[in-house]
Amino acid sequence: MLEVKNISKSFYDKNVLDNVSAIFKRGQINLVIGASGSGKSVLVKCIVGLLEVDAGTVEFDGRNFTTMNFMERKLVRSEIGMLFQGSALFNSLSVEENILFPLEMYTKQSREEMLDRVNFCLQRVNLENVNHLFPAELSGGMQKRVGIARAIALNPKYLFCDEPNSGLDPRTGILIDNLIMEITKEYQMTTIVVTHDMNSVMETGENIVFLHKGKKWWEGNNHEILKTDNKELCDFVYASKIMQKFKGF
Amino acid sequence: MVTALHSIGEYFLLLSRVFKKPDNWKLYRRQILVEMTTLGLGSMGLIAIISFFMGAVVTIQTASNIDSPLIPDYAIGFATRQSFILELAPTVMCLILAGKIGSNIASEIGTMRITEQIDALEIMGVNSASYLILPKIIAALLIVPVIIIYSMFLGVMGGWFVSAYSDFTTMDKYLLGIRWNFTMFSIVYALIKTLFFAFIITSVPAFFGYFTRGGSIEIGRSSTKSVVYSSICILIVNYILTQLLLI
Ligand SMILES: Nc1ncnc2c1ncn2[C@@H]1O[C@H](COP(=O)(O)OP(=O)(O)OP(=O)(O)O)[C@@H](O)[C@H]1O
Ligand SMILES: [Mg+2]
Repeated sequence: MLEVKNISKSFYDKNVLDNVSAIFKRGQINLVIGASGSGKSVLVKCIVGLLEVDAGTVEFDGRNFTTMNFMERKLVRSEIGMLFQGSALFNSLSVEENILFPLEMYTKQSREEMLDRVNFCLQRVNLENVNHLFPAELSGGMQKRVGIARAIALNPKYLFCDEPNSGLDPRTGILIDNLIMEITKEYQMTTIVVTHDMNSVMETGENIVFLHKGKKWWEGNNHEILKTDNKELCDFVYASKIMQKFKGF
Repeated sequence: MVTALHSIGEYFLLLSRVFKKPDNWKLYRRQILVEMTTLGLGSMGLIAIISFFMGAVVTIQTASNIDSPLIPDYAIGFATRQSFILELAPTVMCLILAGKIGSNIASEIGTMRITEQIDALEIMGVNSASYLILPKIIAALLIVPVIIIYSMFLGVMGGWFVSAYSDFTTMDKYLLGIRWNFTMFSIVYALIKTLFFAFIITSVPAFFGYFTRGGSIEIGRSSTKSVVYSSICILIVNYILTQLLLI
């Protein structure tokens, strides 16, 4: 379980996160949704410590991450896997080396064991025969999947995915959603997925946090989201005119 | 002024992170070798061409500007050698490397910043500043002196070419000139300067790359800035070191 308590973050005079609190549970997909620029990526970066929060705390299963020093954080980070919005694969390394990287950093396994793990992770995301290709030689969807493979290489307890299916066709998107769902259940991870894709919200939304202008505006699951009468959330869910007519605005 | 001081402070803070003890030497060793190849071999051709032709031109210029009978003939070779070893090879070649290596480093690290690769490194528990910058600095400290010695050699060869294939001077006089009153200290002096410059042309661009914000336009801006500022640093440090070393 991952708990965020009253965190705020601003850049210069711009308030991006305002007193956000949320609980992300283990063994399920926790969605963070919101319009572009609402602070979703910043929230995730604050949680994993890539950005320092101005106020509030982040707790990983009761361990207060905010007050930890570098070495303690490193220990927690060995339990974190993260897929970045732009995949963030190391473009000077091949696919195989990309996935080896965290293994070499954190484990003392032999080269064979590591390569086994690499191939296992690649299989898990339905990729084959790409070991020696470079990120630039892959399609966007393949890069995302390699990103996921790298994120799960160390069998993390906490998995963060920033827009895992943006820029993908709906079918591949759903494939990736299902994949994240499967590994979350299988390894009982605490998974946080940032998205603004309504398909994945309906598909995987067990616990949804809706951010609006840096505030937590709404919280619930995919059944409740259809019944909500929260104005901003409805604007987000029923973005198109046709959908709005459907809902009866 | 305040922002300039702020940047200088940030630069030294970054350096303090760069020189933290690395916890995985194996990854570093590999990176250092890779960087030595890209920084070193990648610049050899350019430096060779520039050095050879500059050596030739300096010789011709010196020869055609000396017409006093009081100045001995071997002064031509002597002047070529001295100017190359003392200034042209270390300072001018490092300025050229600042353009070549510097913009390269700034855009490489800047791209890693805006595509979140640096964040990914941090998540994996890597001290990204050290992992990305230290191997480049070490590689440059090792390989740039080699490039500079190679440049000195080729510069003097350029002059020799002129003496052999034109009639500005003769080969005998040139060879006498380049050996006349030679002290090892001038090479040592040049190499001391080179080490400082090698540090500048890697760390300054790395700084601008590392703190790139935004998109591809900013990468271009970082890389331009890094060339400008590392060149300025080289010129200032050159002045200071020349004062200090030649008293
Ligand atoms: N490093 C930064 N410096 C200054 N402002 C920033 C920084 N990072 C983010 N912001 C600002 O914070 C706001 C929220 O950004 P964020 O990336 O969290 O949006 P998002 O919800 O992830 O949007 P998207 O869905 O488009 O990815 C934006 O207005 C952005 O300009
Ligand atoms: Mg985002």
